[in-house]
Amino acid sequence: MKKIIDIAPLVVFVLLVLALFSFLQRDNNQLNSVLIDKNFPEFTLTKLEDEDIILSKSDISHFPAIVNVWATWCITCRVEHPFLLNLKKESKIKIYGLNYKDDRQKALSLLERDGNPFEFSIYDKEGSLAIDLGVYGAPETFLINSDGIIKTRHVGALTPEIWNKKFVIHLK
Amino acid sequence: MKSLFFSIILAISQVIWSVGIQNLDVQKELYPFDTGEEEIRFNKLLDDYRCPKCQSSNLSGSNSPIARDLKIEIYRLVKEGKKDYEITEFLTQRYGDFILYKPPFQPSTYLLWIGPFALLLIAILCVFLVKRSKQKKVSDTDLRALKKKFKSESEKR
Repeated sequence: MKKIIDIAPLVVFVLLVLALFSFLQRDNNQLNSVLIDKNFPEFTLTKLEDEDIILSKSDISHFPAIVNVWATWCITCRVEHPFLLNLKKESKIKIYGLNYKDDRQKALSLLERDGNPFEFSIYDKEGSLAIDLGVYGAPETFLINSDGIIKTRHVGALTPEIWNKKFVIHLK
Repeated sequence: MKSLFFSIILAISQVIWSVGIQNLDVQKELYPFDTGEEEIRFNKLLDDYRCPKCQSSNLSGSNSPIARDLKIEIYRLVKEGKKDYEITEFLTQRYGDFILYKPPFQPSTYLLWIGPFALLLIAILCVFLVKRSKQKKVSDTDLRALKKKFKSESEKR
């Protein structure tokens, strides 16, 4: 008994250090989205490709779908671009773009030059829909299931590994 | 030499001071309010919300684009006459409790809120137990020594 009491502080200390260390290892850049298992938010914004067309939530009509937040000023989005083009080619999933705080002309010419993986892009000049989605850095990708519910969110460039780990499980 | 050093320090601090004042002026120009009360509330809110991008600074201390957007959003909400709790609700519905520097007391944060007190209690308990076991040891040996002494003295007689 006496021995146990003597080493108890050391054991508690070691456990505490281990616990705190394991928290350090966690990736803080991936915040959990509060919108998971919620409906995609309503919006009224113009289409990137045609400023006379007003889009709303009902225009995202083919599910399952992903909504990808992108911009021409976002370098990581360009890294991700080939993955999205490939996804469009090889998967039945529909990809919708959310062009985030961008210049319409620049965005259109980038899509023309590098290819357009999106059904269309929502033009969110002020970032209002982005705030409703809890976006804090492009690129971000939201998966919407056939009921129009957000199932997962990824911050940062998509890769085949992340796609398989975080998205494919919701598509079955 | 010493005075040169001091005058350099003084010059630098003056520059920093004036830049700070300018920043305040810019903030006043960017987010004009009708009443001082609104302005105080706005500044207090910016201090209490965390920037989701930079994470270790609050909204008022961050110049990242998302912090700027959120400032504009909060400015709009304050101007609309929204209450503090409504603005907090607006932000947590989008960014989660993460945006709060003071997280709410709920099952997922019990450890955070109670942990330090629990640790303090454990520490007090440990000190108490260790001290008591030491005291017991001392009194045990004292007793034995006393007995021995008593025995030897009685043998002498």
